Amino acid sequence: MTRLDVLNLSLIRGQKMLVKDFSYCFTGGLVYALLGNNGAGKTTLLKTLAGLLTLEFNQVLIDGQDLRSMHEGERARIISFLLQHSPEQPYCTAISRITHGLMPILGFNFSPDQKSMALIEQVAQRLNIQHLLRRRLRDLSGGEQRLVHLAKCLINPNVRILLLDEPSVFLDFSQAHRLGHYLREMAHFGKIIIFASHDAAFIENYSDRAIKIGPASKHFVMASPEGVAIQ
Amino acid sequence: MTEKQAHVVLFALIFFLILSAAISLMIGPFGWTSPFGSMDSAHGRGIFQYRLCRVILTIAAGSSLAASGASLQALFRNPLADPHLFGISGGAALGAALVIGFLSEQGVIMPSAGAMVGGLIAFLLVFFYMQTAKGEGLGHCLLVGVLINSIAAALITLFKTILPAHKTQSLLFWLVGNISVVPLHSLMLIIPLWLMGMTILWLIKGELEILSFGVEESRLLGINASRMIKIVIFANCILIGNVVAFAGMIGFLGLVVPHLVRLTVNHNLRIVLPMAAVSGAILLVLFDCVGRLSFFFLKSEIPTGALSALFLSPLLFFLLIERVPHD
Repeated sequence: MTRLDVLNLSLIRGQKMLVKDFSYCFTGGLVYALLGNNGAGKTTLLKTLAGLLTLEFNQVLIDGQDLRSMHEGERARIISFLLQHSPEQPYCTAISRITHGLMPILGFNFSPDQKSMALIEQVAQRLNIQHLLRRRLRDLSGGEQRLVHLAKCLINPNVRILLLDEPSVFLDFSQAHRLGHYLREMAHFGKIIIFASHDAAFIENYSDRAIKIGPASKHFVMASPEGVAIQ
Repeated sequence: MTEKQAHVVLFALIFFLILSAAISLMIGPFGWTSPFGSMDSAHGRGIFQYRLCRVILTIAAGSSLAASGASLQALFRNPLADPHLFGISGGAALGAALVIGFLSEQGVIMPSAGAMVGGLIAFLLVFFYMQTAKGEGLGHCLLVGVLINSIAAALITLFKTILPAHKTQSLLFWLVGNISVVPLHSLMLIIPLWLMGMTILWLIKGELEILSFGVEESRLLGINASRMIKIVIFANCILIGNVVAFAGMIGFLGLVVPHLVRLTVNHNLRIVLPMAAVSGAILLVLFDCVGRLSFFFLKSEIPTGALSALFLSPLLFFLLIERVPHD
């Protein structure tokens, strides 16, 4: 079972202290939701866990290994990240975009073979986007583009930690439902899934733990995310 | 278009490039000559050798410019990125202008040597900036390029006003981009540099495609982004320094060809990059043929750079109108 330990983590953006002395142990098999006001530091926390921001000492450990000791390639093989603002590249086809998710394990110059095509088909089917595969990103709607970027994050079977920044935004109800189920199922295989969201229904229905990021040291964990909407 | 179809198109393009290079070997101001029939006379051999060097330079220049344009548009995520952005061409032009303007004894190779040195200095300036900015300022790196270009342009304008007329004329020809006489021994420099730059871009085309989704995204997918950006810029400097030094400032091709390819084949960078390189070479070979044939009517060759802008702008305009999504 994968373990992600966070020890006395403080997050600073600009001059502002967002999170102070946050310690937590994320374990595989569970879906975690990060919630908090705008600018509370959800995205900064996710980016820190992904290794995008520099850390001063060993505050983030993946299965006991210091995150700082891993290089980009190593991290990319086990961590997958959905950016809040999906980057735009209008001419890229959906299928090439999804293929990018396999590049950390298969190299950057590979073309999809039968085995990887099967993976693409599988993830596309789970997210119900098979009919979009051959189309260019600029011909897709915002929600459809989001699903393509999500598929890129979910395709790599070796990933142990999934970090998703606002995964349900732009998605219609049935697509969000489909995604939520898929995330739960992936957690069952021992992956750690952490997502940041403002979508109370999505958090209530599909997460096992909700972590509220508050100003300075006032963050707390809800063992059961029920009642998030009331909060 | 699937990847397989794209590969078929790529091979067709390569075949077409060979064909156009063969045609280009046979025509010129001396008329239609079969290169193989005329090999028995020293005169015929001379013409053949001259044309061969010229065709090789044209292929190298066309493919370098187009591949460089495609890679820079991806790197900067900006459809207006152009090979002449980094100040490399500005520095090279200034170097060549200094040689043309102020050296009395000059062979064919001297302006090129000046351009090489000028381009290298400009590259070192950009690279020095990137080192101090620690990979932070990709956009600012462009600004440094623009800065170098404008200083170079200002100095060249100054030269144009103070130099005698015949020197201004040759400077002007050089600046619009003209593939003319290439001595055989300069190929010893052109070909290795060209192959080196193209091989680097070929090897990193997958990483480049991901870089076109932004620095953060590429770091998340396991790319050491700041190192990759340096590699891309290094490759571009080799390619552009090489082209500008020997063929002058051929504008527009590097900006337009990647767009033409993208608009027609609709594909991602891994396919667009090699296709753009081959198409750029084909187009420049054809423009060079037209330029040479124009000698018959005008008693002077039209510079290749001017021809490429003249032909390509309307073509791009047409394609842009044609392919606008109708919604």
